[in-house]
Amino acid sequence: MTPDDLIRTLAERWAVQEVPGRKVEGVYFDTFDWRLYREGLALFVGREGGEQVWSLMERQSGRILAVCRNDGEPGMASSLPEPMGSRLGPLMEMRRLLPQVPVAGDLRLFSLLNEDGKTVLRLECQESPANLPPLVRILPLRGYEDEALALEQRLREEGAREVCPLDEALAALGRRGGDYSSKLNFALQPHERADLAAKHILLHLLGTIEANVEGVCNDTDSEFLHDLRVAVRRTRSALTQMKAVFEAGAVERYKAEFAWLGQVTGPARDWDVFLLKFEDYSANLPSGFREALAPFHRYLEQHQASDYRLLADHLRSGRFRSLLQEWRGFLESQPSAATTPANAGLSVKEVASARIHKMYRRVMREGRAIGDESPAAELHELRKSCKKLRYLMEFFQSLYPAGRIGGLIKALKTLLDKLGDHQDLQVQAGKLEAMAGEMRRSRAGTQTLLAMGMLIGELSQRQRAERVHFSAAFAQFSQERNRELFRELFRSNKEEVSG
Amino acid sequence: MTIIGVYNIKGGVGKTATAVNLSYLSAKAGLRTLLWDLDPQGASTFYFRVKPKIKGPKKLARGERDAGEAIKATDYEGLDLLPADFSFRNLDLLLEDQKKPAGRLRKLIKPLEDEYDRIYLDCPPSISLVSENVFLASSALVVPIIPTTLSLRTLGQITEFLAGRELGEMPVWPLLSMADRRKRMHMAVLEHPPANAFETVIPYASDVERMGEYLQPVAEFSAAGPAAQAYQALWQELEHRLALAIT
Ligand SMILES: Nc1ncnc2c1ncn2[C@@H]1O[C@H](COP(=O)(O)OP(=O)(O)OP(=O)(O)O)[C@@H](O)[C@H]1O
Ligand SMILES: [Mg+2]
Repeated sequence: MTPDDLIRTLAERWAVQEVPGRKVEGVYFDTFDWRLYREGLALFVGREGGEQVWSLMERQSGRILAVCRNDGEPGMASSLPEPMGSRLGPLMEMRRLLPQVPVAGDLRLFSLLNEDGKTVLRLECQESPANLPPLVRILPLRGYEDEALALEQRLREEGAREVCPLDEALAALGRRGGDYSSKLNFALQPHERADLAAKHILLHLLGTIEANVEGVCNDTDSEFLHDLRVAVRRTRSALTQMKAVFEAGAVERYKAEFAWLGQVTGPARDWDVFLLKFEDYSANLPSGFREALAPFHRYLEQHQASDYRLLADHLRSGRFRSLLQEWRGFLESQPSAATTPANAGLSVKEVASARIHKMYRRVMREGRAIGDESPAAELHELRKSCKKLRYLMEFFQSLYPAGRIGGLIKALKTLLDKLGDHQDLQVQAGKLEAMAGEMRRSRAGTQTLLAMGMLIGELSQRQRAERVHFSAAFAQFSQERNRELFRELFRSNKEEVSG
Repeated sequence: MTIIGVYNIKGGVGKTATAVNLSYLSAKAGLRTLLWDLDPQGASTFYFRVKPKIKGPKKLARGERDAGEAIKATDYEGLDLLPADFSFRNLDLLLEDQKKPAGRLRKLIKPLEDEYDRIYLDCPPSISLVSENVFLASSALVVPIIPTTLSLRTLGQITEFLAGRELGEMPVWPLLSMADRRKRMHMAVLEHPPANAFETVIPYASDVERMGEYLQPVAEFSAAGPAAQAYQALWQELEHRLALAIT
């Protein structure tokens, strides 16, 4: 159906007049991981009569939620014009708005008149590719809401689609909204061969690494590096946990290379974390001292920028590029029948259950051994084990009943957050002391050094408070019901899976 | 928000023609504009092809709707209309509002303040409680008069009436309308216009009568005609005066 066909059917009820249409030209913006899209929103920034106009809409209906005129570049939440800043800030958090989908085309405009010759509705119409019904948007007129409802009804009957122009533009590019997410979402079959399932998982992680490289090199926002590092950690964990499904030589080589990658991405991330937490950490300081921290903030920014430059060099290096290339080649190759490793032919569910159960037992053992006086290093070890367990459960989630494994992952995540806060605070208090020393040597002002001292005190205090919570958090995690669920889901009768 | 009352005691002097064309030009210029048809006859409502809702008097629950809910978009972007039926229902109540009957219109307008830059009031002829409401609500009064000596006398009556009301600084601006240069008496008044009259004069022009055929403001069907040109000039002069008088 073409717009003209549609207009012909509408003419049964309204007199339809075509009025001069307009050109649409602009870009849909969203964060790299589609945070607006996932909330059912679309932000279009286009030009109208020499002005840049921002329109925030409901993605499905195209209904306008807010409009503003501002010539600024869409970017981080703090730099957005109002009311976009306050509406989108909580969704975007640390992510930057990026141009996602450019749009250019012609819109036809129609006025629909009642029997008195009065305009009661306007209709925007866009020809759509591939013989689909045209895309339409109703522009209701004040005082004629009934007519808008009648038209909506009519359009439904005619099969015209009130589709979001964003989805349409994406489809034209062969893309889908939300096509990047750092979340794992595999659909594995229990009887799949373990080695093939592992490759499937690792290929996905490789895709995540690749997708984030450019954003890291350009320092677009801190989340690119975060996602990249998580994908690297997951890759290393999968390699270690499932090493028996691959040939030993290959596993060792890639483990070493990904360990290198984890190491070279570390310093830049540390600065990011500091900068992200800066406001939170300094919130409790008296206001005079908060201002005195400005030189320290600049110090952080400078170091962050220079470590990002070093990191970008690593990510553009031949070593990195050939790592990704060879790794992809390895994952996409067919397993050779001759040298099949011990567990390769087992079903993925057998291997998964065995690995998860084993890691779970380790977590329980380590957790129970920790008392109030245990050194922080033990908490650190426990955290590492918990992370490994979490990755395993997330990889193989689809093999178990969603409601049950979902609850366990959540419980584990709660425990991990507690451990993470504790450890981050400890590491950062340590780093802060080192930085304060460095700033003293570079003759920072007394006020600034005093403020940093206060910051260190603040972090240590928070760390002590976290430690008190640990035993309660672990008790919560290891409660009877969770222990039962772990046994039920993962304990297998076969113990011949080698580790 | 600026409120412009288009008023005269006398009927048939071009109040509605002025209010319709000025409000149209205001919206065209990008100002968010409302035209409020205060005349139960509904002439300006008719010019915009809006049918007044005619319901049995029993069904008219008093004051149940606020002005905002009764507003209708016109065919022109930026121009809304508050139709006569709303005024018909609500202005009757003026007489019964014991406490401050003359302030009722102002109260009805209050919630619209943020929505519009200009509100034009098309008033019914006569001096009544409605006109008192208009005087209280308006930022300025445009008074169309036909250039005759009799009309000048009514103008005198209006200014006298207003003088007794302590309406503060509200300017009263006569507008010579339906002026026919072939008539000696018109020419005489045009040569000695009343104080504060607009320099722009609206000539007697068949285009204005044809608004009733086209059901459109003159500029829509005869942009180059003398009437459209005169209203355009008048609108500019009015905005200029508003900028000087009200800030
Ligand atoms: N400049 C003009 N030239 C010719 N005819 C005009 C002109 N202005 C108004 N008319 C005509 O005079 C008649 C009365 O005009 P209009 O309705 O605008 O006056 P009014 O003051 O609003 O009248 P009422 O008091 O009845 O509301 C209408 O038929 C209109 O077409
Ligand atoms: Mg009238």
